Amino acid sequence: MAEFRSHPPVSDWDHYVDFESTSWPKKDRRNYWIIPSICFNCESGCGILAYVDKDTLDVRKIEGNPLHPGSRGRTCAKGVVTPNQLEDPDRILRPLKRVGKRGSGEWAPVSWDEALEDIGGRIRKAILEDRRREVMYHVGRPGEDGYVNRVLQAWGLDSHNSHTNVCSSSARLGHFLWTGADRPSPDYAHARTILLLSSHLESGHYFNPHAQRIIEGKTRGAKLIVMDPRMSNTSAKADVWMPTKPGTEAAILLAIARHLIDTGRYNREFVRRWVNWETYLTTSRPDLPATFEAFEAALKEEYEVFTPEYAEIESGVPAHKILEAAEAVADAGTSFCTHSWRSAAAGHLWGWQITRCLYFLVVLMGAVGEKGGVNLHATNKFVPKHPNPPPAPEYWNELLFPKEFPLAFHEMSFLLPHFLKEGRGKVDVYFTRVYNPLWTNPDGFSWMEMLEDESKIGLHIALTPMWSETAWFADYVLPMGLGTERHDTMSQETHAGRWLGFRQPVKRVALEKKGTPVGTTHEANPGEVWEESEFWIALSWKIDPDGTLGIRKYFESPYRAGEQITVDEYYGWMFENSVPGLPEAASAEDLTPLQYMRKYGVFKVDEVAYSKAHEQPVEAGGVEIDGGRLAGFNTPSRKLEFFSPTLAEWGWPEHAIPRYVPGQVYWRDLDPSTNEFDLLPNFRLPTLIHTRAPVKWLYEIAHSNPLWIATGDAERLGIAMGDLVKVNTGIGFFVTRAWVTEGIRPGVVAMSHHLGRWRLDEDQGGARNATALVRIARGTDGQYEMRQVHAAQPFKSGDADSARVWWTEIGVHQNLTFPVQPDPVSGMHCWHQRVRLEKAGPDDSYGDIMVDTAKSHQLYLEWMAKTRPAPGPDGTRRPLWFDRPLKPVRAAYDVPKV
Amino acid sequence: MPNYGFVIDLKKCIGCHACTIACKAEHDIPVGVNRCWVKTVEKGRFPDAQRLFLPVLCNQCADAPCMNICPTSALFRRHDGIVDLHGDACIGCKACMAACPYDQLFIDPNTRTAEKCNFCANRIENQLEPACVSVCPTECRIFGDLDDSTAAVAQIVQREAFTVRKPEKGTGPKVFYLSADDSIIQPEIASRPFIFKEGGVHLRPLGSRDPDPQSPGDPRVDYDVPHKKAWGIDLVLYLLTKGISTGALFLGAVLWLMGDRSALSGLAAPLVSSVFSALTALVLVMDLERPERFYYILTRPNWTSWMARGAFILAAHGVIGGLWALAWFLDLSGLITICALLTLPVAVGATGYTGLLFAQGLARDLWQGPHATIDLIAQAAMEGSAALLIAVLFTTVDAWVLETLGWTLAGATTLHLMILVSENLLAPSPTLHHELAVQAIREGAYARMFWLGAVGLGGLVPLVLFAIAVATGFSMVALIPMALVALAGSLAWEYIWVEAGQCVPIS
Repeated sequence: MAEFRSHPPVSDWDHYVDFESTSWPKKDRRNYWIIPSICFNCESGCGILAYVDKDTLDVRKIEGNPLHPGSRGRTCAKGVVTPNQLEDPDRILRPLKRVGKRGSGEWAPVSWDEALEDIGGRIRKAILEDRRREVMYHVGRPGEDGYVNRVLQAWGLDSHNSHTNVCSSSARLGHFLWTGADRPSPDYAHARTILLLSSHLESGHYFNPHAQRIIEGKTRGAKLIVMDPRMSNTSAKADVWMPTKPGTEAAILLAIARHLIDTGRYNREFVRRWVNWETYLTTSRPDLPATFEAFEAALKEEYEVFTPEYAEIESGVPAHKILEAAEAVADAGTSFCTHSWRSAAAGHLWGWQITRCLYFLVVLMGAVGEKGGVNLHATNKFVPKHPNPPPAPEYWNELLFPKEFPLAFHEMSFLLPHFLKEGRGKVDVYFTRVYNPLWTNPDGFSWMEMLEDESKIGLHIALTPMWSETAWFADYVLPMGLGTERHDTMSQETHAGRWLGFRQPVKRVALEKKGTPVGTTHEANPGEVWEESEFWIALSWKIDPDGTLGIRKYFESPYRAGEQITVDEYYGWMFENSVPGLPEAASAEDLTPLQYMRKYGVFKVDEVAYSKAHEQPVEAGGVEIDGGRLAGFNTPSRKLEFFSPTLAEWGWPEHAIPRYVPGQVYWRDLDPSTNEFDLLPNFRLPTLIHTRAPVKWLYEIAHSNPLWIATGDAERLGIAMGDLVKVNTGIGFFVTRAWVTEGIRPGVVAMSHHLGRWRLDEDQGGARNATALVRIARGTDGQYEMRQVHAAQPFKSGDADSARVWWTEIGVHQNLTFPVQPDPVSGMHCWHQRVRLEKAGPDDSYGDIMVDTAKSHQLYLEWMAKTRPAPGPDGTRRPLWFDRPLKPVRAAYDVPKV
Repeated sequence: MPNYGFVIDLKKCIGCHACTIACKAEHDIPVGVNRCWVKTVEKGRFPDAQRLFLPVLCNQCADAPCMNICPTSALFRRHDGIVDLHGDACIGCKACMAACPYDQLFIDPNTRTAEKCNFCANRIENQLEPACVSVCPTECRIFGDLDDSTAAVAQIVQREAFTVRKPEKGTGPKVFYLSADDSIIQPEIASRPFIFKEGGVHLRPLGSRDPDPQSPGDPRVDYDVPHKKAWGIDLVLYLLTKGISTGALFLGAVLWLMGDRSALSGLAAPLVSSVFSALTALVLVMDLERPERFYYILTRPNWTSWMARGAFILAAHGVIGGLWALAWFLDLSGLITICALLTLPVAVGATGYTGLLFAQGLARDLWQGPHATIDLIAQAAMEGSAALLIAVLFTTVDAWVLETLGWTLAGATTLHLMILVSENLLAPSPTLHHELAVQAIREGAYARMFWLGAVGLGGLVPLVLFAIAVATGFSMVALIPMALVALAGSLAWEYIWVEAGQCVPIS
C-alpha cells in the first residue's frame, strides 16, 4: 500500500520539488527550500515550515513543522494564513514618521538610521538626566523569551510593561499562590478527567498544542468537563457542560472539593505531605490540635456550606451535574487535568480565587506533576540563558507597580492613562510593540487622550507588523517582521516534555543558502520591514555609541571584541552555551548548533518531563517532610499553600484560603426589570488573533461579533435575530446586532473579542478588508461619539481578492465602552460588565459608540479605593518571592521612608 | 489500483477551520469560494444545547454526477478513483455545479473555470497526505485506500457505523463520517438564519427552512460558507427562446403537413425558429464563464452529458430551420416537406432533452422526474403557437390555421397548468428537498410570481382570453393578448423552475 507522509522528509527540505497546485493537473514543477520557523500569531510557538520558492523567494505556503514536539506538524487556521499577512495590501512596508499633529495621519517615510538616531538620542538623554523611568516598553504578545528583558536590563531600566493584566493575571496569581509557579502545564493527553474553565478547544493559551492533546486524551477515554456560561466549541465537545452563572464557578469547584473531602476520595497522603496545613491550623484554628486529622475535620467545616444543592442555587448548574463532575474528578486519581487562563478568572473581581479553587482540586487529587496531571510550567518550558546577562535595574518604577497593587501579576498596564492623568509621572519615550492598547484595553478613549497629549507621552514608537488603532497615534511607526521575517527563541509548556523553538527570517535564510550574504534582515524582508532582534542591538549602539554609559558592551560580539554583535552570534552563542544537549546533537550531524537550529527550527530538550523537583532530597533549605529534607515548591513554606500567609500579611486575611466570593457582576444584584445583564466580553473565535488577524482568509470566516442573547431574554425585550441592540455600560454605550441563541445562559449576553477594528483614514491606518472607517466626534469634557462611515468594502489592490471582499459589517469595538475594573489583588482587569440592554432607536446605527472618559476616571477612582496598598509587613513594595517579568535589585523593593 | 477515500471522525472535530484555510493555502483559492469548509449547527434547548461540526469536501463519487453532465469531459476520473478536472478543457457551463448533490463545485474567479477538491492529488503524487489531513490539530481526518484492507480507512469503514452525505442519490460517495447527526449531515433539516455568530450571511439559499419561533431548540445552521447557484437568468431566457424556436418549427411542420402553404408555415415558422435558435445559442454562449471556448462542446463532447447531446440536437434543429427557410425562397416545397418531416422528431428532441439535462442536475430534486420533459413540450407548444399567432399579424392565413394555433395554445396551456397544479399543489413531495422547493414556490420567495405569473398569466388568463376568442370567432383582438400573456406566464414559470429548483440548501 502507498504510505502517505504528513510532510516532506527533512532530507528533501533543501531541494523540495512540488507540483504547482494552481496549474494542476498539468505537472508543472516548482523548486522550494523548506525552511522551518515558529508561528508568530499567538503564544503557542507552534513550529511552521515555510515553502520558499527558489525562483521568486516568496513564501508559497506555511505548514506545520513535524519535528516540533509541541505542535507536531499541525497548525491552526491562524498559522496557515501567515502568507496573507506577508502579502497584505495594507501592510506597512517602510518606517514612517509623523509630520502633522499626532493622530492627524500625516506621515513621511524615514530611514531606519534616522529613526534610530532620533530615538537613541532621546533615550540616551533620559538616561543621562536620570529620567530612566520615563522610558517604557509596552508589549502585547512577546512571542519570544527574554530578549527584550535583557535589552531593558542592559539599559538599566525598570521599564517592562506587558498586557498581562488584561489577559491572565488572575489565573497567574491563583496558581502562583499555591505553587510559586504562575502557569499550569496540564498533561491532557494522559488525563482521565479534564476540567476546563477555559475554551482550549478553540482558543486558550496554547490552542493548537492543547486542543490536540485534549482530544487525544478524550479519545483515550478521558471525561471532559467544561464550565462556561456560553456554548463554546469546547463546551460543545464536553461530556459535562456546566453553563454557570458567571462568577459562581468557585461555588461549584468548592462543592466538588467538599464532595472529595466528604467521601474521602482524595489523595490524603499527598495532601498530608505537601499542603501547608500546619500553618492553616496555627493561624486559623488554634483551637484544634496540630494534626492532619484535625486539618481534615477543619476542612470539612470550612466548606460545609458547599453542598451540591447550594452550588446549584448559586451557579444555576443542577446538583446532579455537579455530582457527576465530582465523581469524574474522584475517578481520575492523579490523572486529573485542569486549566484556567482567561475566561472566568479574567472576568471577575476575585477571579484569582476561582483559579485557586480550581487548583485546590488538583492538590486534593495529588495530581501535581503526575502523568495525566498538572505540571508546573517551568518543567515544560525551557528558556536558555542569553549571552552576557546585565544586572537587575536599581530602582522601582511606580508607573508599572504602584503601591496600591503590591500583589499584582503583573504591571498595572491598563491603568497607565489614569496614572498619567493623576500626575503620577510622564513617559518620554514609549514603545508599543505588537500591542494595541487603544483597541485591546478597556477605556480606549482614555488611551487616545493620553497618546494625543505630548506632555504625557513625549515620543511614541509603534513597533508593529501592521497598522493598528494605537499605531495611528505614534510618532514613529516601525514595521517589524511576521513569523517568517524575524529571529526569536521561544518555548512553551505545551505538554509533558520540553522544547526550544527558533524563529527565523526565511527569506534571509534562503538568500544565504543561495550564497547571497545578508547584512541586516530588512534587506531580505519585503520593503524595509525589520526585526526587533537587530533593531534593539542597533538602537543600543545609538544610545551608547562610545560605550561610556556601560550599555554598549552588552551588545558587543562574544567572538569579536568591541564589534557589534550580529544575530547569528547572539543566537549562536545561546545555542552553543545554554541549551543542554544541543551542541552534541548538532555535532552528531556535523553542524554547528546554530546551523542545527536553522535546519530544524526546534530542539527537543526533554522527551518527557514531569514536575518532580519538589521531591528531590536536598542538603539544606527546602522543607522537612516525614523526617527527610526535600526541595519542595517555590513558595515561602516550600509547600503548596492552601493557606497563604502572604495574603494574610499583605492585608487580605479574609482571602487567605480558597474561597467563593462573587465578583463585580453578581446575578443576585442584576435587576431584570431594568433589563440588566451580565456581559461576557472576553471570548474568542478559533480563527482570530489579537492585533494580527485582519487578513482575508480569516475575515472571510469570521468578521463580526454579534451579541449572543438567550432566546427567552430576546423575546422579553422584543429583539429578533439580527436586530440592533443598544448596550449601555458604566461609561457609555455601543450598538450592535443580536444573535439569538439557546447556547447561552439566560441573563448573560456575550460578545467575542477581536472584532470591531476601525481606522480614521479612508486609505491608511487599517486593513480595508477588516476595519470600518469611523468618525469620532468630541464633546468638551471627555465625551466621545464614534460612528461608522462605512464598513469593509471591496477595493482594488495588487491582490485580486481585495475586490472580492463580500462581508461588510466587521463588528463593534465594545472595549471602548468598558470602564477599567482592576482587581485590587491580582490587578486583573475584570472583564465582565454590568450592562443595560435596550432595543436600538431610530437614530442608532450599527457600530455607534458613546463614551464619557470623565465617568471612566470616576469609576477608576472607585475601584482604586478597594486596594490595600504596600508596604507589606517588611516595609517592601511587593513580596520578595513574587515573580516580576523583570525583577529590580532587592533595595528597590523598600518603600522609601517619608 | 488504489481507491482513495476519507473517514472523518466528528467526535474529534472541534470546528477550528484549519482545514478550510490549509486548503485555501494549498490551492491558492480565492475569497468567496471553497473546496472544503466546516459547517456548524446548533440544536437543543439550553442547557442541553449542542453545537455540531461537519467538515465537507468532495466525495469523489464512484458514479460522479459532475462527470456525467460535464459536456467537455473536463472532469475526469483518475486511476485512483479521484475525480479531477482539466481546467483547460472547462468551458464554465456550471452544469457540474447543478449536478453535484454535495455542493462541491464552484467557479474559480481567477480562472473562470470550475474547481473542486481533488483530495490534493498534487500532494498524493508526492506521497503526501491531503493538506486538510496534514493540518488537522485533532486528527479527525483519516485518508487512505478504501480497497486496501490494511489501511485505516478501509478498516474503519468495515467495522464502524458510518454515515455518508445523501446516500439516496446513489453516487457512491467516498467520504465516510463517524457520529454524524442527521441535523447536520442532511442540509435541509436545519433552519438558516440571516446572520451567523461569526458575521453576515452571504448568498443565503432562498428556500432555506425558516426558524420556527415556537420551537427554538430546532437545529439551526450557525456557520456556513457562501453558496452560489449554478444557473440564473441566462438559462431562463434559454428556456424561453428555445421553446419558441422548437415550438414554432414543430407547429409550422404540422401545419405544412396538414396542407397549409401560406407564408406562415412556409417562411414565418422557420424564420422565427431560426432567429430564436440563434438567440438560444447566444444566451447559452453568454452564460459560459469561458464563452470563447464554446466550441469545445462540439470538438470534445462527452456523450453521457445531455448538455453535449443537446448541443448536437440543437444544431441539427437549427440546420433544418435554416434549410427550410432557404427552401421557401428557392420555392422547393418538396424540400420543405422533408424538413417538416425531419422537424417532428428533432424539434421534440430539442425541446425535451432539456428535461433530461436538468434531470442530470442531480443536486436539485425539483428537476427530477419525467413530468419536466412533458411540461417542456407543453410549454414549447404554448410558446411556439403564441409566436406563430403573433406572426399571423404579418401574413394572411386560412381560418383553420388560426383556429389550430388557437386550440394548440389553449390545449398546451391547459396541459402546462395541469402539470403545475399537480406537481406543485397536489402531488406529495418525494423528498424534503423537493418539499422545500415547492414550499418556496407556493408560499415562499416565489409565491407571487407563481400565482400571478405562472398560474395567472401562464394559465388562467390565456384560457379566459381563449374563451373570448372562441366566442368572437377567433378574433385577433383576443388571440394576440392571449399569445402575449401566455409567453409572459411561461417565462415566469421558467424563471421559477430554474431559480426555485436551486433555492434549497444542498450542503
